[in-house]
Amino acid sequence: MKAKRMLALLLVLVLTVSAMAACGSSGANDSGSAEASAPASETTTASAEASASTDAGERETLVINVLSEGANYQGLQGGWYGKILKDKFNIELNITALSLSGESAYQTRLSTGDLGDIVQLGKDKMTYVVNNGLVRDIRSGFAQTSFLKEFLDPVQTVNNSMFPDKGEGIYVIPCNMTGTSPTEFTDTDLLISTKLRWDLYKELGEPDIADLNGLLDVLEQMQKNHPVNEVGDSAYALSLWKDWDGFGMANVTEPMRWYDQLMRGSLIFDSKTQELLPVTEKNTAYYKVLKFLNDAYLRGLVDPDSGTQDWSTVSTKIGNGQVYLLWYIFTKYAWNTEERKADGSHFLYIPVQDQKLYMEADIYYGAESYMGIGANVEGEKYERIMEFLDWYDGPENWRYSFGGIEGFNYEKNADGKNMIINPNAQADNLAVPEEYGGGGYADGMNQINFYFGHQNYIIDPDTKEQYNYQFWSSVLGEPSEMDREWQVRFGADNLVDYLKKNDMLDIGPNVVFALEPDTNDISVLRGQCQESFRDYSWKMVFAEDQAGFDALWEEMAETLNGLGYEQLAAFDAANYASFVEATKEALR
Amino acid sequence: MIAKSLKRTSLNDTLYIMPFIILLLIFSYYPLFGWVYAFFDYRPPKPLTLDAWVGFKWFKSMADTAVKRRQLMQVMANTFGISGLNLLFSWFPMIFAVFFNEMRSPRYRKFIQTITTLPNFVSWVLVYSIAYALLNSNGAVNAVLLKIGLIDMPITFLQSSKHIWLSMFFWMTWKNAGWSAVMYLAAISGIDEQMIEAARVDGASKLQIIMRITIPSLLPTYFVLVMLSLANFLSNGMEQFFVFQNAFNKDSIQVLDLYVYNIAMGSGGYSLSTAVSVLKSVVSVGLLALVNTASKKVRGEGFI
Repeated sequence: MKAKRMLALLLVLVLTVSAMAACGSSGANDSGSAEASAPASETTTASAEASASTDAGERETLVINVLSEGANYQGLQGGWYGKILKDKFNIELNITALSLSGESAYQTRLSTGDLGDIVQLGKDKMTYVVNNGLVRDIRSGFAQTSFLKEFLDPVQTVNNSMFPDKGEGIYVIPCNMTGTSPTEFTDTDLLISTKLRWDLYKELGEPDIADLNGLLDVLEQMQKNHPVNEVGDSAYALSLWKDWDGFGMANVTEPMRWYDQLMRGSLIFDSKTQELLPVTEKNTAYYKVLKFLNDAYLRGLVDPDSGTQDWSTVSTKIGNGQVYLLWYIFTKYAWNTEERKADGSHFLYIPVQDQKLYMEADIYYGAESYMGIGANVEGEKYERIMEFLDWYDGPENWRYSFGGIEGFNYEKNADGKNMIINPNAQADNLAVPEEYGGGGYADGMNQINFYFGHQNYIIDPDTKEQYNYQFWSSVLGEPSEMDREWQVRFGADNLVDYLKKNDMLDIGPNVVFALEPDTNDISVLRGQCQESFRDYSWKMVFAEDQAGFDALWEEMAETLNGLGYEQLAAFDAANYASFVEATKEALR
Repeated sequence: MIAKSLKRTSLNDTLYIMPFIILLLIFSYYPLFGWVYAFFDYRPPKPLTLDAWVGFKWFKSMADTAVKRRQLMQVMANTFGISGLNLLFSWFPMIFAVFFNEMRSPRYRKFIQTITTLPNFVSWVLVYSIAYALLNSNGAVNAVLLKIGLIDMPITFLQSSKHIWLSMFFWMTWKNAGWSAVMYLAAISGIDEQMIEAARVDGASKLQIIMRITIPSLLPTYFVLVMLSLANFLSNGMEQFFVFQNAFNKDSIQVLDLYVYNIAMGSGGYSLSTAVSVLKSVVSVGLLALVNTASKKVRGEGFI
């Protein structure tokens, strides 16, 4: 009897607890803290595919699966932007983000032969999937678009060069095409630079910074003066994140542009000498920046959570004022709000004088990230996706994606120019009125994070200004006190002007070139080398002294060579020779 | 006549176990077909028929340089270390069950049983979220330690590889101990009450009853479970280590299952990772045979 009662009790317990556990897991997905949350709603696609009615009535809901290397969000697009898509096209976007789900989502989809409906990948992966027939030719649909076809010239050139065996087909569309020229640089800000808080910099007496050591001195002072933010959370000069890592830590490979170098596959491209260098070489920007991070750590300037946090956490920390050095252009938007412009506390470029910054010219042929449509997409679904993509490149979506909602984020002033209202909508995640879909503004923003045109170049025909609100005359307005101070201090109009005057800018031409996809051996080798290289890099950042750093570097070089890095480097050297050639050609 | 009836009996007997054999064939033998991937240069999405046959290439490449051998040895050391720890403390749920059984207040008993069993139903991903919330540099643990002045810099628990096997073991025990104790609780309720009453009449103390009656009666169950866990010595699962892994602790946390996953899903090396898992099965069978022989020598009977 006792045993029976016990069993009954246990059963009840199991049921209750499993029910509770189920609730718990959905809660975690919402907070986005867990890494391995798989997309939950793939099953709904099947029903959507069955939609065949082209009656005048309501179209059936279409769930579009997006596999994205660039998105920082995973799950269904919701909020106010989701509502627009739903109302306009009756579509839902189900986004799978490789940065959150890891390589596994890509590998699994690859082995099933179905990548999804909209695929957004980097150059090497995209080349591989197109060559293996997993992405369809969209030439027919492309010609019928009204907005997208304006990019026909760069798109056709890119496709011809990437897939020489595929004839005149159009398989991929690059992102961020500027529509200007492939050798000029016309922007006023750089992708990678060194940005410090202007108020804190002024507080230190606006010192000159000669090199990275000088930069650390300044940062150390800042952190000493302000060890916590306004609400008392500890602040650090640097906060790193791990989810963008590729071949090497993203927090090193991107700032390598400070010293005129950048990653090309498993090699380092030195723009000055036009050479490809192995990563095991010490005389590179990778070593230099890595050492810089380690020095920063030794001085106590690196956020101790760096190795375990992801980009969205860091972005929040920047918005909270817990970080003092920014190197990446888009990080500034988390902090640089209108109110802080008046405070004079924006992150502004502060020159480090021994640097020579590398920047690609206007990316006429787009950045090396591409969008395509999965090979399994056919018929009406294909048409609807093309219709959506064309709209996506049209003025309406540009306004939504970069200006926000008219009436909530901006309105037209007397001159017919856009004027911002609610300037803190994104930073403070303001509640969106119910008529636009409700929810937080930042939560409901376009999560695809991929645009065919470049936000800083494409012009709104109505206002004759860029879509990006940072360029609106109403926003630029009169230069603020802070901007004037900066201009006086550095004797230039803006950072590009300063860099050009001081010969600190190296503009690399925007070129198109083909990549040979990895063989099976190379693919495994690349994976293993990449993992080791990345893990050792992280350990080196947190090395306890110079000797420890050196020992880890030696160990890293030895491990990479033991895994067969030389073979990989040789493969990549041959592969990127076309890039080096094209660059030399364009510079001639 | 006799031969015919024998035949029928054996046919009947076969029919009895047929469902199990079918299940076994489907779920245990059919998947072995996947081993062929270890002998091809498989790269999705190309089907196997279009891939090159490469024989033992991937097996050889697993250990063809000193660095790879070192990595593999490290992975084996982690696997054995963590499984060894589990084995070493495998008596823990049993002792827990024994003491639990001595608790008298039914309300309190239920409470304890609920909170110890609950973690078993929490997924590892959530366990990591809990660990992260508690142990990050602004987390509860660091906040308390900083407040009472024990440390002046936050400790980076999750980024450190110090005592990582132990901490992994603690997380595992926290999650599993209550659940594993259920088996022993069932066994305890099967112990003959008369024995215990007789001992009590003879004046045995509580401790004596535990030492002389409860534990000896539990030992057969314990041994069966130990044997079963020995067969699974190389499979300590990957979920836990997958969620806890980072650049700093990976060297000491990467167990065989995680290694296989990282190769296949991290770098698309399906063939290589299949080769590794084939080897794992082979070694597992070897281990089982070893334990079986040892058991025959020691106890006079094997378990297969």
